[in-house]
Amino acid sequence: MSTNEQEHSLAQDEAFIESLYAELEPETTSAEMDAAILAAAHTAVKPKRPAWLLLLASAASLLLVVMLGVHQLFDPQTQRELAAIQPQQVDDLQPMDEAMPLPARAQQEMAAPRLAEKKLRSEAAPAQRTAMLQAQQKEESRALSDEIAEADSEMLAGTATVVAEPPVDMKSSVSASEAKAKAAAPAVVAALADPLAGAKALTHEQYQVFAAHGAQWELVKEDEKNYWLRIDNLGRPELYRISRNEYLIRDRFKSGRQPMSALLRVK
Amino acid sequence: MPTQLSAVVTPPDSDENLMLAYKAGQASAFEQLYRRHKDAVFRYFLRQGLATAVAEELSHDTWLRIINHRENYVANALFKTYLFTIARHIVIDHTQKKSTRQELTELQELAAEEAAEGGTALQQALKQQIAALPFEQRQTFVLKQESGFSIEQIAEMTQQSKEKVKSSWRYALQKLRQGLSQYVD
Repeated sequence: MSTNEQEHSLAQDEAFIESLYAELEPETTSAEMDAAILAAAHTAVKPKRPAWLLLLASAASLLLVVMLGVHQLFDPQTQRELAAIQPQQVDDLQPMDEAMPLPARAQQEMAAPRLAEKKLRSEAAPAQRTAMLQAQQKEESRALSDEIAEADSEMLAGTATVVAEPPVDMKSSVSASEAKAKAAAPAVVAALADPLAGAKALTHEQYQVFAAHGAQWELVKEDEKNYWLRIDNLGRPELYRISRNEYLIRDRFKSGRQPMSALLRVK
Repeated sequence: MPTQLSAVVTPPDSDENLMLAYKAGQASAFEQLYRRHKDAVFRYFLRQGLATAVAEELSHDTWLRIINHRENYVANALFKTYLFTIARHIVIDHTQKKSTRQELTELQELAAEEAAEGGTALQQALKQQIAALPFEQRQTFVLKQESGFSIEQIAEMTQQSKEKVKSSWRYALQKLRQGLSQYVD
Protein backbone atom coordinates (compact mmCIF):
# COMPACT_ATOMS: atom_id res chain seq x y z
CA MET A 1 0.00 0.00 0.00
CA SER A 2 1.44 3.35 -1.05
CA THR A 3 1.80 6.27 1.35
CA ASN A 4 -1.01 8.14 -0.33
CA GLU A 5 -3.31 5.17 0.02
CA GLN A 6 -2.35 4.87 3.68
CA GLU A 7 -3.10 8.51 4.29
CA HIS A 8 -6.39 8.20 2.47
CA SER A 9 -7.39 5.15 4.50
CA LEU A 10 -6.43 6.91 7.73
CA ALA A 11 -8.53 9.92 6.81
CA GLN A 12 -11.48 7.67 6.13
CA ASP A 13 -11.08 5.92 9.46
CA GLU A 14 -10.85 9.24 11.28
CA ALA A 15 -14.01 10.49 9.60
CA PHE A 16 -15.77 7.26 10.47
CA ILE A 17 -14.84 7.46 14.16
CA GLU A 18 -15.62 11.15 14.24
CA SER A 19 -19.13 10.48 13.00
CA LEU A 20 -19.63 7.86 15.70
CA TYR A 21 -18.37 10.21 18.41
CA ALA A 22 -20.83 12.86 17.35
CA GLU A 23 -23.65 10.52 18.24
CA LEU A 24 -22.34 9.69 21.70
CA GLU A 25 -24.30 11.13 24.60
CA PRO A 26 -22.34 13.53 26.79
CA GLU A 27 -21.02 11.90 29.95
CA THR A 28 -20.35 14.04 32.96
CA THR A 29 -19.32 13.72 36.58
CA SER A 30 -21.80 13.57 39.44
CA ALA A 31 -22.74 16.69 41.38
CA GLU A 32 -21.44 15.07 44.59
CA MET A 33 -17.99 14.61 43.12
CA ASP A 34 -17.95 18.19 41.82
CA ALA A 35 -18.90 19.50 45.24
CA ALA A 36 -16.26 17.38 46.98
CA ILE A 37 -13.45 18.52 44.68
CA LEU A 38 -14.41 22.19 44.82
CA ALA A 39 -14.65 22.03 48.62
CA ALA A 40 -11.17 20.49 48.76
CA ALA A 41 -9.86 23.22 46.47
CA HIS A 42 -11.34 25.97 48.66
CA THR A 43 -10.06 24.38 51.87
CA ALA A 44 -6.55 24.04 50.46
CA VAL A 45 -6.16 27.76 49.80
CA LYS A 46 -8.06 28.92 52.86
CA PRO A 47 -5.84 31.42 54.64
CA LYS A 48 -4.30 29.88 57.71
CA ARG A 49 -2.86 31.74 60.67
CA PRO A 50 0.87 31.49 60.08
CA ALA A 51 3.03 29.98 62.79
CA TRP A 52 5.28 33.04 62.90
CA LEU A 53 2.29 35.16 63.89
CA LEU A 54 1.71 33.02 66.96
CA LEU A 55 5.40 33.24 67.87
CA LEU A 56 5.34 37.00 67.39
CA ALA A 57 2.29 37.37 69.64
CA SER A 58 3.93 35.26 72.35
CA ALA A 59 7.15 37.27 72.15
CA ALA A 60 5.23 40.55 72.31
CA SER A 61 3.32 39.38 75.39
CA LEU A 62 6.53 38.30 77.11
CA LEU A 63 8.20 41.61 76.27
CA LEU A 64 5.23 43.52 77.68
CA VAL A 65 5.37 41.57 80.94
CA VAL A 66 9.11 42.17 81.27
CA MET A 67 8.73 45.90 80.54
CA LEU A 68 5.98 46.21 83.14
CA GLY A 69 8.16 44.45 85.70
CA VAL A 70 11.15 46.69 84.96
CA HIS A 71 8.93 49.75 85.12
CA GLN A 72 7.60 48.70 88.50
CA LEU A 73 11.11 48.11 89.83
CA PHE A 74 12.68 51.36 88.68
CA ASP A 75 9.77 53.80 88.84
CA PRO A 76 10.69 56.54 91.43
CA GLN A 77 7.11 56.80 92.66
CA THR A 78 6.96 53.08 93.26
CA GLN A 79 10.30 53.20 95.07
CA ARG A 80 8.97 55.90 97.47
CA GLU A 81 5.84 53.86 98.11
CA LEU A 82 7.85 50.75 98.82
CA ALA A 83 10.06 52.70 101.22
CA ALA A 84 6.98 54.02 103.01
CA ILE A 85 5.29 50.66 103.20
CA GLN A 86 8.27 48.74 104.54
CA PRO A 87 8.03 49.85 108.18
CA GLN A 88 4.39 48.98 108.41
CA GLN A 89 3.23 47.22 111.47
CA VAL A 90 2.26 44.16 109.49
CA ASP A 91 5.85 42.99 109.51
CA ASP A 92 6.60 44.38 112.97
CA LEU A 93 3.63 42.74 114.56
CA GLN A 94 4.37 39.35 113.10
CA PRO A 95 6.47 38.06 116.03
CA MET A 96 3.88 39.35 118.51
CA ASP A 97 1.11 37.65 116.58
CA GLU A 98 3.06 34.43 116.81
CA ALA A 99 3.69 34.87 120.51
CA MET A 100 0.08 35.72 121.29
CA PRO A 101 -2.05 33.98 118.69
CA LEU A 102 -5.55 35.32 118.28
CA PRO A 103 -8.47 33.43 116.90
CA ALA A 104 -8.48 33.34 113.12
CA ARG A 105 -11.57 35.47 112.87
CA ALA A 106 -10.06 38.24 114.92
CA GLN A 107 -6.94 38.19 112.73
CA GLN A 108 -9.09 38.47 109.64
CA GLU A 109 -10.93 41.41 111.13
CA MET A 110 -7.62 43.12 111.81
CA ALA A 111 -6.34 42.45 108.31
CA ALA A 112 -9.47 43.59 106.46
CA PRO A 113 -9.06 47.35 107.03
CA ARG A 114 -5.39 47.13 106.04
CA LEU A 115 -6.29 45.47 102.77
CA ALA A 116 -8.94 48.08 102.08
CA GLU A 117 -6.45 50.87 102.76
CA LYS A 118 -3.88 49.25 100.49
CA LYS A 119 -6.46 49.14 97.74
CA LEU A 120 -7.37 52.78 98.29
CA ARG A 121 -3.72 53.71 98.30
CA SER A 122 -3.12 52.01 94.96
CA GLU A 123 -6.09 53.77 93.40
CA ALA A 124 -5.38 57.26 94.76
CA ALA A 125 -3.41 60.01 93.01
CA PRO A 126 0.32 60.34 93.97
CA ALA A 127 -0.18 63.45 96.17
CA GLN A 128 -3.16 61.92 97.91
CA ARG A 129 -1.28 58.69 98.25
CA THR A 130 1.57 60.36 100.12
CA ALA A 131 -0.85 62.10 102.50
CA MET A 132 -2.72 58.87 103.04
CA LEU A 133 0.48 57.01 103.73
CA GLN A 134 1.54 59.53 106.36
CA ALA A 135 -1.87 59.52 108.02
CA GLN A 136 -1.98 55.79 107.97
CA GLN A 137 1.48 55.51 109.50
CA LYS A 138 0.41 57.74 112.37
CA GLU A 139 -2.77 55.81 112.87
CA GLU A 140 -0.99 52.51 112.76
CA SER A 141 1.60 53.70 115.22
CA ARG A 142 -1.19 54.72 117.58
CA ALA A 143 -2.96 51.41 117.09
CA LEU A 144 0.31 49.59 117.67
CA SER A 145 0.83 51.43 120.95
CA ASP A 146 -2.71 50.58 122.04
CA GLU A 147 -2.25 46.95 121.15
CA ILE A 148 1.04 46.73 123.00
CA ALA A 149 -0.52 48.35 126.07
CA GLU A 150 -3.46 45.96 125.90
CA ALA A 151 -1.18 43.00 125.50
CA ASP A 152 0.85 44.14 128.52
CA SER A 153 -2.23 44.43 130.67
CA GLU A 154 -3.38 40.96 129.59
CA MET A 155 0.00 39.53 130.38
CA LEU A 156 -0.13 41.18 133.78
CA ALA A 157 -3.58 39.82 134.40
CA GLY A 158 -2.41 36.34 133.46
CA THR A 159 0.58 36.70 135.75
CA ALA A 160 -1.71 37.86 138.56
CA THR A 161 -3.91 34.85 138.06
CA VAL A 162 -1.02 32.50 138.22
CA VAL A 163 0.52 34.27 141.17
CA ALA A 164 -2.78 34.45 142.98
CA GLU A 165 -2.95 30.69 143.15
CA PRO A 166 0.55 29.42 143.68
CA PRO A 167 1.05 25.95 145.03
CA VAL A 168 1.05 25.81 148.80
CA ASP A 169 4.70 24.99 148.98
CA MET A 170 5.55 27.98 146.81
CA LYS A 171 3.79 30.59 148.95
CA SER A 172 6.49 30.61 151.55
CA SER A 173 9.22 30.98 148.99
CA VAL A 174 8.26 34.45 147.78
CA SER A 175 11.45 36.42 148.03
CA ALA A 176 11.99 39.95 149.27
CA SER A 177 12.94 41.12 145.80
CA GLU A 178 9.63 39.91 144.46
CA ALA A 179 7.87 41.78 147.22
CA LYS A 180 9.74 44.93 146.19
CA ALA A 181 8.70 44.42 142.57
CA LYS A 182 5.10 44.00 143.63
CA ALA A 183 5.26 47.14 145.65
CA ALA A 184 6.65 49.03 142.68
CA ALA A 185 3.85 47.85 140.42
CA PRO A 186 0.49 49.03 141.74
CA ALA A 187 -1.40 47.28 138.92
CA VAL A 188 0.08 43.96 139.88
CA VAL A 189 -0.75 44.58 143.54
CA ALA A 190 -4.31 45.43 142.62
CA ALA A 191 -4.51 42.26 140.58
CA LEU A 192 -3.19 40.25 143.48
CA ALA A 193 -5.79 41.83 145.78
CA ASP A 194 -8.63 40.76 143.50
CA PRO A 195 -7.52 38.02 141.09
CA LEU A 196 -10.93 37.97 139.41
CA ALA A 197 -11.02 41.70 138.69
CA GLY A 198 -9.52 41.35 135.18
CA ALA A 199 -11.96 38.65 134.08
CA LYS A 200 -13.62 39.34 130.78
CA ALA A 201 -17.21 38.54 129.93
CA LEU A 202 -17.39 35.54 127.60
CA THR A 203 -19.43 36.27 124.50
CA HIS A 204 -21.22 33.61 122.57
CA GLU A 205 -18.90 34.15 119.57
CA GLN A 206 -15.85 33.61 121.73
CA TYR A 207 -17.48 30.50 123.14
CA GLN A 208 -17.92 29.15 119.57
CA VAL A 209 -14.33 29.98 118.65
CA PHE A 210 -13.02 28.20 121.74
CA ALA A 211 -15.26 25.22 121.07
CA ALA A 212 -14.01 25.08 117.49
CA HIS A 213 -10.40 25.08 118.70
CA GLY A 214 -11.09 22.37 121.30
CA ALA A 215 -10.15 24.69 124.16
CA GLN A 216 -10.55 23.47 127.75
CA TRP A 217 -11.66 25.36 130.82
CA GLU A 218 -11.52 25.08 134.58
CA LEU A 219 -13.93 26.54 137.09
CA VAL A 220 -12.16 29.07 139.33
CA LYS A 221 -15.06 30.51 141.29
CA GLU A 222 -18.83 30.77 141.30
CA ASP A 223 -21.45 32.79 143.12
CA GLU A 224 -25.18 33.24 142.82
CA LYS A 225 -24.95 35.17 139.51
CA ASN A 226 -21.70 34.22 137.79
CA TYR A 227 -19.10 31.60 137.11
CA TRP A 228 -15.41 32.48 136.67
CA LEU A 229 -13.56 30.22 134.28
CA ARG A 230 -9.93 29.94 133.31
CA ILE A 231 -10.00 29.04 129.61
CA ASP A 232 -6.93 27.66 127.87
CA ASN A 233 -6.60 29.87 124.79
CA LEU A 234 -4.05 27.99 122.65
CA GLY A 235 -1.74 27.42 125.59
CA ARG A 236 -2.37 30.78 127.25
CA PRO A 237 -4.78 30.82 130.23
CA GLU A 238 -7.37 33.59 130.18
CA LEU A 239 -9.91 34.45 132.85
CA TYR A 240 -13.55 34.84 131.80
CA ARG A 241 -16.79 35.56 133.61
CA ILE A 242 -20.08 34.02 132.48
CA SER A 243 -23.57 34.61 133.76
CA ARG A 244 -25.49 31.73 135.34
CA ASN A 245 -28.54 32.97 133.43
CA GLU A 246 -26.80 32.05 130.20
CA TYR A 247 -24.73 29.02 131.09
CA LEU A 248 -25.06 26.03 133.40
CA ILE A 249 -22.24 23.94 134.78
CA ARG A 250 -23.28 20.61 136.24
CA ASP A 251 -21.72 19.61 139.52
CA ARG A 252 -19.69 16.79 138.02
CA PHE A 253 -17.92 19.25 135.72
CA LYS A 254 -16.96 21.72 138.45
CA SER A 255 -13.59 20.18 139.19
CA GLY A 256 -10.70 19.66 136.79
CA ARG A 257 -10.28 20.65 133.17
CA GLN A 258 -13.36 20.27 131.04
CA PRO A 259 -14.13 20.60 127.30
CA MET A 260 -16.27 23.49 126.08
CA SER A 261 -19.12 21.04 125.46
CA ALA A 262 -19.40 20.64 129.25
CA LEU A 263 -20.42 24.29 129.43
CA LEU A 264 -24.17 24.14 128.74
CA ARG A 265 -25.79 27.16 127.17
CA VAL A 266 -29.25 27.62 128.69
CA LYS A 267 -30.35 30.85 127.07
CA MET B 1 9.94 19.57 22.26
CA PRO B 2 7.94 21.00 25.17
CA THR B 3 5.39 23.64 24.35
CA GLN B 4 6.97 26.82 25.70
CA LEU B 5 4.58 29.48 26.94
CA SER B 6 7.06 32.08 28.07
CA ALA B 7 7.29 33.70 24.67
CA VAL B 8 3.55 33.57 24.11
CA VAL B 9 1.23 36.19 25.50
CA THR B 10 -1.56 34.25 27.16
CA PRO B 11 -5.00 35.70 27.88
CA PRO B 12 -5.89 36.30 31.56
CA ASP B 13 -8.39 33.46 31.60
CA SER B 14 -6.07 30.94 29.98
CA ASP B 15 -5.70 27.65 31.77
CA GLU B 16 -2.15 28.47 32.79
CA ASN B 17 -3.03 31.88 34.24
CA LEU B 18 -5.98 30.39 36.10
CA MET B 19 -3.75 27.73 37.59
CA LEU B 20 -1.22 30.36 38.63
CA ALA B 21 -4.02 32.38 40.19
CA TYR B 22 -5.15 29.33 42.11
CA LYS B 23 -1.58 28.72 43.21
CA ALA B 24 -1.63 32.28 44.57
CA GLY B 25 -4.73 31.47 46.61
CA GLN B 26 -7.63 32.36 44.33
CA ALA B 27 -10.11 29.50 44.69
CA SER B 28 -12.49 30.83 42.03
CA ALA B 29 -9.77 30.33 39.40
CA PHE B 30 -9.73 26.64 40.17
CA GLU B 31 -13.49 26.47 39.77
CA GLN B 32 -13.16 27.79 36.22
CA LEU B 33 -10.42 25.34 35.41
CA TYR B 34 -12.36 22.46 36.87
CA ARG B 35 -15.53 23.23 34.91
CA ARG B 36 -13.52 23.44 31.68
CA HIS B 37 -11.81 20.08 31.98
CA LYS B 38 -13.74 17.88 34.37
CA ASP B 39 -15.75 16.06 31.71
CA ALA B 40 -12.73 15.43 29.48
CA VAL B 41 -10.83 13.92 32.41
CA PHE B 42 -13.83 11.82 33.42
CA ARG B 43 -14.32 10.49 29.88
CA TYR B 44 -10.62 9.76 29.62
CA PHE B 45 -11.01 7.36 32.53
CA LEU B 46 -14.29 5.97 31.27
CA ARG B 47 -12.72 5.08 27.91
CA GLN B 48 -10.12 2.96 29.67
CA GLY B 49 -12.89 0.40 30.13
CA LEU B 50 -13.47 1.36 33.74
CA ALA B 51 -16.80 1.43 35.54
CA THR B 52 -18.37 4.81 36.21
CA ALA B 53 -17.60 4.62 39.94
CA VAL B 54 -13.94 3.84 39.32
CA ALA B 55 -13.69 6.56 36.68
CA GLU B 56 -15.09 9.06 39.17
CA GLU B 57 -12.67 7.88 41.83
CA LEU B 58 -9.69 8.27 39.53
CA SER B 59 -10.94 11.69 38.38
CA HIS B 60 -11.17 12.70 42.01
CA ASP B 61 -7.59 11.53 42.60
CA THR B 62 -6.38 13.50 39.60
CA TRP B 63 -7.94 16.76 40.72
CA LEU B 64 -6.77 16.26 44.29
CA ARG B 65 -3.25 15.82 43.03
CA ILE B 66 -3.58 19.11 41.13
CA ILE B 67 -4.81 20.80 44.32
CA ASN B 68 -2.16 19.34 46.60
CA HIS B 69 0.76 19.99 44.24
CA ARG B 70 -0.32 23.48 43.20
CA GLU B 71 2.79 24.99 44.81
CA ASN B 72 4.99 23.03 42.40
CA TYR B 73 3.14 24.12 39.28
CA VAL B 74 5.25 26.01 36.74
CA ALA B 75 3.63 27.35 33.59
CA ASN B 76 6.25 26.04 31.18
CA ALA B 77 3.75 23.89 29.28
CA LEU B 78 0.04 23.75 28.61
CA PHE B 79 -2.01 23.14 31.73
CA LYS B 80 -3.97 20.53 29.81
CA THR B 81 -0.77 18.57 29.17
CA TYR B 82 0.06 18.77 32.86
CA LEU B 83 -3.45 17.61 33.77
CA PHE B 84 -3.59 14.63 31.47
CA THR B 85 -0.03 13.58 32.30
CA ILE B 86 -1.21 13.24 35.88
CA ALA B 87 -4.36 11.41 34.77
CA ARG B 88 -2.32 9.01 32.68
CA HIS B 89 0.00 8.22 35.59
CA ILE B 90 -3.01 7.54 37.74
CA VAL B 91 -4.42 5.11 35.17
CA ILE B 92 -1.07 3.33 34.95
CA ASP B 93 -0.85 3.09 38.76
CA HIS B 94 -4.37 1.75 38.90
CA THR B 95 -3.75 -0.84 36.20
CA GLN B 96 -0.46 -2.03 37.66
CA LYS B 97 -1.75 -2.66 41.15
CA LYS B 98 -1.39 -6.43 41.48
CA SER B 99 -3.81 -6.58 44.36
CA THR B 100 -6.56 -5.11 42.25
CA ARG B 101 -6.20 -7.35 39.22
CA GLN B 102 -9.10 -9.53 40.18
CA GLU B 103 -11.07 -6.44 41.04
CA LEU B 104 -10.10 -4.93 37.69
CA THR B 105 -11.52 -7.89 35.83
CA GLU B 106 -14.76 -7.58 37.73
CA LEU B 107 -14.91 -3.86 37.15
CA GLN B 108 -14.22 -4.24 33.45
CA GLU B 109 -17.11 -6.66 33.26
CA LEU B 110 -19.21 -4.12 35.08
CA ALA B 111 -18.08 -1.41 32.66
CA ALA B 112 -18.99 -3.60 29.71
CA GLU B 113 -22.44 -4.12 31.23
CA GLU B 114 -22.81 -0.40 31.76
CA ALA B 115 -21.77 0.26 28.15
CA ALA B 116 -24.31 -2.26 26.93
CA GLU B 117 -27.13 -0.66 28.90
CA GLY B 118 -27.27 2.85 27.41
CA GLY B 119 -27.24 4.35 23.92
CA THR B 120 -27.61 2.71 20.54
CA ALA B 121 -26.02 -0.60 19.63
CA LEU B 122 -23.34 1.25 17.67
CA GLN B 123 -22.46 3.51 20.57
CA GLN B 124 -22.26 0.52 22.91
CA ALA B 125 -20.04 -1.28 20.42
CA LEU B 126 -17.78 1.77 20.12
CA LYS B 127 -17.21 1.91 23.88
CA GLN B 128 -16.50 -1.79 24.03
CA GLN B 129 -14.08 -1.63 21.10
CA ILE B 130 -12.16 1.26 22.64
CA ALA B 131 -11.88 -0.59 25.94
CA ALA B 132 -10.61 -3.64 24.11
CA LEU B 133 -7.68 -1.77 22.46
CA PRO B 134 -4.14 -2.49 23.72
CA PHE B 135 -3.03 -0.03 26.40
CA GLU B 136 -0.72 2.18 24.30
CA GLN B 137 -3.18 2.32 21.38
CA ARG B 138 -6.02 3.11 23.73
CA GLN B 139 -4.00 5.87 25.40
CA THR B 140 -3.14 7.41 22.06
CA PHE B 141 -6.68 7.13 20.76
CA VAL B 142 -8.38 8.55 23.83
CA LEU B 143 -5.90 11.41 24.26
CA LYS B 144 -6.27 12.41 20.63
CA GLN B 145 -9.95 11.73 20.07
CA GLU B 146 -11.41 12.62 23.48
CA SER B 147 -9.01 15.25 24.74
CA GLY B 148 -7.90 16.87 21.49
CA PHE B 149 -4.13 16.45 21.85
CA SER B 150 -1.93 16.41 18.77
CA ILE B 151 0.39 13.55 17.91
CA GLU B 152 3.35 15.69 19.05
CA GLN B 153 1.79 16.49 22.40
CA ILE B 154 0.93 12.84 23.00
CA ALA B 155 4.49 11.88 22.17
CA GLU B 156 5.69 14.40 24.73
CA MET B 157 3.27 13.22 27.38
CA THR B 158 3.92 9.52 26.88
CA GLN B 159 7.64 10.02 26.28
CA GLN B 160 7.52 8.13 22.99
CA SER B 161 8.63 8.98 19.51
CA LYS B 162 6.21 10.78 17.26
CA GLU B 163 6.33 7.91 14.75
CA LYS B 164 5.39 5.36 17.37
CA VAL B 165 2.46 7.45 18.53
CA LYS B 166 1.31 7.96 14.98
CA SER B 167 1.56 4.23 14.38
CA SER B 168 -0.48 3.52 17.51
CA TRP B 169 -3.10 5.97 16.34
CA ARG B 170 -3.35 4.34 12.95
CA TYR B 171 -3.62 0.81 14.35
CA ALA B 172 -6.25 1.93 16.83
CA LEU B 173 -8.37 3.45 14.09
CA GLN B 174 -8.06 0.36 11.91
CA LYS B 175 -9.13 -1.94 14.73
CA LEU B 176 -12.06 0.20 15.62
CA ARG B 177 -13.25 0.43 12.07
CA GLN B 178 -12.93 -3.34 11.57
CA GLY B 179 -14.81 -3.99 14.78
CA LEU B 180 -17.54 -1.54 13.95
CA SER B 181 -17.90 -2.11 10.21
CA GLN B 182 -20.87 -4.44 10.71
CA TYR B 183 -22.82 -1.53 12.21
CA VAL B 184 -22.29 0.73 9.21
CA ASP B 185 -24.05 0.44 5.89
